[in-house]
Amino acid sequence: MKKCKDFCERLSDYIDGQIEENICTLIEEHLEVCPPCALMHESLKTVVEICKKGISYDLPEEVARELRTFLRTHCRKEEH
Amino acid sequence: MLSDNEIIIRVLDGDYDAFETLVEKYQGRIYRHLRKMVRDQSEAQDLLQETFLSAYKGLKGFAGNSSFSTWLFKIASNAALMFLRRQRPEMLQYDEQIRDSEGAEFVPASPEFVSTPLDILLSAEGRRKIEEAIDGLPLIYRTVIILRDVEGFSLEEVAGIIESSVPAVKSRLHRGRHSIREALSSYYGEVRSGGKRRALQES
Repeated sequence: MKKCKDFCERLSDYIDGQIEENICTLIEEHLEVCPPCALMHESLKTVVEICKKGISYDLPEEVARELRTFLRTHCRKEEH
Repeated sequence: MLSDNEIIIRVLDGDYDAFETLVEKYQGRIYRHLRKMVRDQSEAQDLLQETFLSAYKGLKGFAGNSSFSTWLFKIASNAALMFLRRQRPEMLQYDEQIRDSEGAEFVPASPEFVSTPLDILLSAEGRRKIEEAIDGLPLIYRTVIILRDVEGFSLEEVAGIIESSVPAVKSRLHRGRHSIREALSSYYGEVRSGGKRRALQES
């Protein structure tokens, strides 16, 4: 890996812990000396973090109630 | 607390209440996944019912080779795909959508986005922007982002759920994450330039 583009293409895998140890070292060394790539790394980490924490749908009570009723009606017809 | 596999044994012995325990445990996550896949609350509700009914009917065939949760998400994903194929085939025509989102990884990172505090990124307005960024992705990227980054499945599990390969999942995650980064960087760049700061602080 010689160019920033090569490093950036591996950052998503790097965040997922999917990079071989020797390549990890290369990436870490590069991130220490290359502010644009370090910023790209921080940005992607932030994206992963806020996707994890930022998407929540509380199941509406009405949807849960209708699901329960639907399943009680239809599953009872099935036998295990 | 009983494991999923122990509960399944009870269901297969005729204990319907045990099945309701599984439904209560997973209904929120499955609903969220379906909402994101089909982007429609009413359709997601119908598919939620279809998913759990299919799971109940197919429980005997659940071999336990995967976890119950990955098996259930696979049923939900397939139900959503079949629905989209029938009702909204345009959502499955990926070429154009993918072309539109190509190149996001080459857009430089924005210092404004990274330096925005987490409580602002996760404010009501911030969450809406994350939703919009994910909803704007082609379905194949959106699905892996939800399964991996929101639901926390491993890459191997995601590949199993969407019946794809780990390299393909990695590639879609890479593209999807960069597209979200680009959308949010652009938004927070504008926020920091002044136009939207007040709205965010008030949300």
